[in-house]
Amino acid sequence: MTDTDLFESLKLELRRGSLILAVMARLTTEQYGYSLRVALAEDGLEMEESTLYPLLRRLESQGLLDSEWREEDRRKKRFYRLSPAGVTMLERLAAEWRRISASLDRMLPNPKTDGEGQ
Amino acid sequence: MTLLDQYLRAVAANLPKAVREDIVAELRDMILSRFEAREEELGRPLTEAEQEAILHEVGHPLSVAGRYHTGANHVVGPELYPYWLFAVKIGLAALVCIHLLASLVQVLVGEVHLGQAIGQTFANLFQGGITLIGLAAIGGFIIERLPEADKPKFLREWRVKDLHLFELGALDTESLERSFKSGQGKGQTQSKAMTWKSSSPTANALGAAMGFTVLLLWWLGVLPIADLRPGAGSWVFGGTDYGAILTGIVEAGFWPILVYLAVRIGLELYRAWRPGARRAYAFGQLTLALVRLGGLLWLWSYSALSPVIKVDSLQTLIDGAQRMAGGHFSLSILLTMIVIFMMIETVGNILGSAWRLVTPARVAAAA
Repeated sequence: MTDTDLFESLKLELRRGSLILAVMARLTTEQYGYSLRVALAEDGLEMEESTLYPLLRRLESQGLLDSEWREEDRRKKRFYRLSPAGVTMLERLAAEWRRISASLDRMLPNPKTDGEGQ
Repeated sequence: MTLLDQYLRAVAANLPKAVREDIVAELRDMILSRFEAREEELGRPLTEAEQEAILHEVGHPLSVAGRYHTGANHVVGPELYPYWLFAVKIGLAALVCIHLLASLVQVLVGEVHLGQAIGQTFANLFQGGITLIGLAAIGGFIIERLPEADKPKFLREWRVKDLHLFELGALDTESLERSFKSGQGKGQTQSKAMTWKSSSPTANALGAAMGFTVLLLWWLGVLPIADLRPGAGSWVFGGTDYGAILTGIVEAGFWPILVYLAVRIGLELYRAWRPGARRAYAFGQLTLALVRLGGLLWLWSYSALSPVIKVDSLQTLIDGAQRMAGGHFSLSILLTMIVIFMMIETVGNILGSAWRLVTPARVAAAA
């Protein structure tokens, strides 16, 4: 495995856990699958359909999302939105994310200060 | 039928019926949205090849449908796999030992030549190994799909003093010796005194259930270790046709032994499931020991082996044993001694089980 392959594989693992948080954060406003994917991509988080759609179903079966079928642009689409339980869960997960991020910030070398020291 | 319809039909065929329509409708909308976005970029309708390229990006129908699967998505998952691999390694090692022993006996009694025995051992090992791995995979598949509460307790509840069993996984002489000999010697401290007997009832029961399962599979002919019915004239030793005797015993005792082994496995699994049910297990053990004693008495007095192993007096047995000690090997005396030892062990087992049945459980010494 080359360094690039290793980096890509580790990056994938790093991203995996954060995608749920990104999807939930984006679903504070109503979206259908395709528009959600586009919105995530615009925010720099590309997500494959084969990952996104099963994830939406799983979150819905866990009671974190509500969904309904509606017609838009002459086609029926399924719209998703965070349920009240999902809103509470997002708050808790966001707090946890910030805690992890702050811990990592303290641990990881700072490129600016480390660069000055050399 | 359009390319998209064809693709979605392949996905639908691999989805659970209850959610099929819903998922396919959502996938259709998603793919059509992607087609439209691409058409907008190009300013023209898509060709079939361009549509196919997008469908490729979405993924193979089997993989797309698989992602919607809600239960276990593997035969043996990462949590169970180390246990599965350990069981397979031990099972294969036991299989090799049993095959080598069976071949050695066959060569000694002159049933086969050494070359034949080697070829036969390799062929049987291959077939037995594949069967064992297949059965272990079925076991893993079932365990993975059990509800969380029904999964075997050994996955989460284990004791440090049971862990010497897992040193066997290294399959080297040093760890085997450590596993079997740990605890021997009076001068050792309590922490070092870890014998097989000191394992938890669950660990002992699971080990016993595994051993009896291998035996049952062999008895059923699933594991081709050695022929249960070798037939007359195949194992003649010291003028006695052991092939005919074994065939007769197996034919007379096939079903009783099959039922005995199945009940024994059930009893051991019950002990693993309810390690605290000491009296129920003692009752089961007592019943089975009585059945075993009945079987041994039948073997001694009425079976086809009876004329070979039955001795009229203790003196005859002692004389035979002395002759063997003097270098005159006699298979019939050896078998007589084995059956007598088995009877003594069974009587001990009956007394022990009866004692456990009528007395309350002892408080652990370490407490």
